Amino acid sequence: MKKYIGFAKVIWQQTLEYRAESLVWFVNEIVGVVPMIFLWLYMQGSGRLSPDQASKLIVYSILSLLISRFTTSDFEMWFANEIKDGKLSTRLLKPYSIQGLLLTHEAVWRLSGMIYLIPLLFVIYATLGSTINFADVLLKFSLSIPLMVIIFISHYQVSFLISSTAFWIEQSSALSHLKWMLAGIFGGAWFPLYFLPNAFVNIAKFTPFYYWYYFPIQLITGVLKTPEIIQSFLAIIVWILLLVGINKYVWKKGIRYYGASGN
Amino acid sequence: MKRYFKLWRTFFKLSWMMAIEYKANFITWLLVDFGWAIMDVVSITAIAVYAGGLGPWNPAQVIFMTGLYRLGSVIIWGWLFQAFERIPALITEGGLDMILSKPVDSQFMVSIGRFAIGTVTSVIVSMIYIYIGAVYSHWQPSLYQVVFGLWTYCFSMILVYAIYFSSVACSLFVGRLNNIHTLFPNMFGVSRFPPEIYPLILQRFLIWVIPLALILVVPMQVFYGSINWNFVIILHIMTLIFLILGRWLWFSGLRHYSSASS
Repeated sequence: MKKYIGFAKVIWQQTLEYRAESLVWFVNEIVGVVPMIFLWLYMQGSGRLSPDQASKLIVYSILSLLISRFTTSDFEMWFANEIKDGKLSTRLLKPYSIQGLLLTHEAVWRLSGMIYLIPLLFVIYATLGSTINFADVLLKFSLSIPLMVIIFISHYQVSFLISSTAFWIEQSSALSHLKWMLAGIFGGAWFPLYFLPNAFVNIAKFTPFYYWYYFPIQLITGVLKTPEIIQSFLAIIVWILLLVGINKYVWKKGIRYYGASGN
Repeated sequence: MKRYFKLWRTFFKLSWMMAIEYKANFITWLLVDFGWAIMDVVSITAIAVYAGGLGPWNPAQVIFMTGLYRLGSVIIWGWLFQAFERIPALITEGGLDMILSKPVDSQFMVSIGRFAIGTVTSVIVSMIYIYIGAVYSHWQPSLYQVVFGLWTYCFSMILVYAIYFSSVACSLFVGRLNNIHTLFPNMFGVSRFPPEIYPLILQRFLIWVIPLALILVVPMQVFYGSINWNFVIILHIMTLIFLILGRWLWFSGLRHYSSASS
């Protein structure tokens, strides 16, 4: 545990050292949400959405941003490159778990991202305080932090699986794109799934992506009933266990196949 | 000038040869690009249908606009991203020396690189979106609208290049900014929304500071015959300003460049 705390300290310093890079990642994340919020406000102003509809959609956009900040895990690109370039060899020789290192890395990055989120929350409050009950949204979100941890683990496991494919597949980064697409369309990261036909939502429920954005937002906003909540929690846990199992198997096979090319 | 066209053609040829050589990669990226093209239209149309339009545009016009947006994405992801993603690494690892020592304009050399031929799917899909959007919005343009619309669209794409290059050139002034090339492609999504949806201060920012709001709006307005001449003029002025700014940033940034690790 001590060494992972050591890693966490170093990674934390890196995130502070490369502030400009962290800021760019942050802007990349909010730049998709900001137009949506203003679109809903405009639609309300032009009478195409009722105040209630608009307020719900704005809350959805804000929660989607918060969840993304807390739970996203996008290490697959650089880690897949480490596997392809043979740089993994040096890590394999060291006395730590690679999964442990990656998990620490991602968790610290998520935490450091909060630094940029705090001023944004003030801006949101100042801009939208009269349209939505922002304090209520924040309170409900805070109460769902344990769920965020679970979602983060699910994200992490999918990212790890994608990077592990780099043992065999040259263009594993294509799978990363696939992940973003599926999170957007099945997960409801871009817009609420109730915009789409019911049949589509029912299919989405069978994917892990559904539980990344749409389910937590529905839970936080109090739309779901108890049986649905229990069912969804069970589904996330099953998905995580399944992914952990698959990852263990794939990693074991991958390490046997690994040729440390380039070294 | 001839030499630059020749170089551009050579780089394109090389990219094509690579795409043909590594067929599996090529097919994978064709599929990824097709996936994004579908996702783009599904997401924006779902929003437009739910909200009864996107600002002043009806759902059919939104599909037309998505076609223009996808074509712009081809330029960004198929060409500019491939070239600009190398710049931060060239700066931090000192690889820029090799480019600066060549008897060719350095801005030109860093602006071309490998082309992602896989984005060809988007070109086809964009045309389909434009066709569908045109049919369903009962688009009956005059020749003037088409020609002038294409003119403004070309200018918009030059503006895309100019803003993107200016943003990447900033990395010459910062110690490490390895992800700066990801910023503009993400910001490009903002151009899908008409400026009317933003509050006045943000509208002004998106027109006068980082003119993202003009990129697709001006060609859309021209194609659909509701020209805002102020926007047309601003688009041309901002394109020139950003072209000059990008060049100035690049060459003044090069004075800071110390050929790291060389």
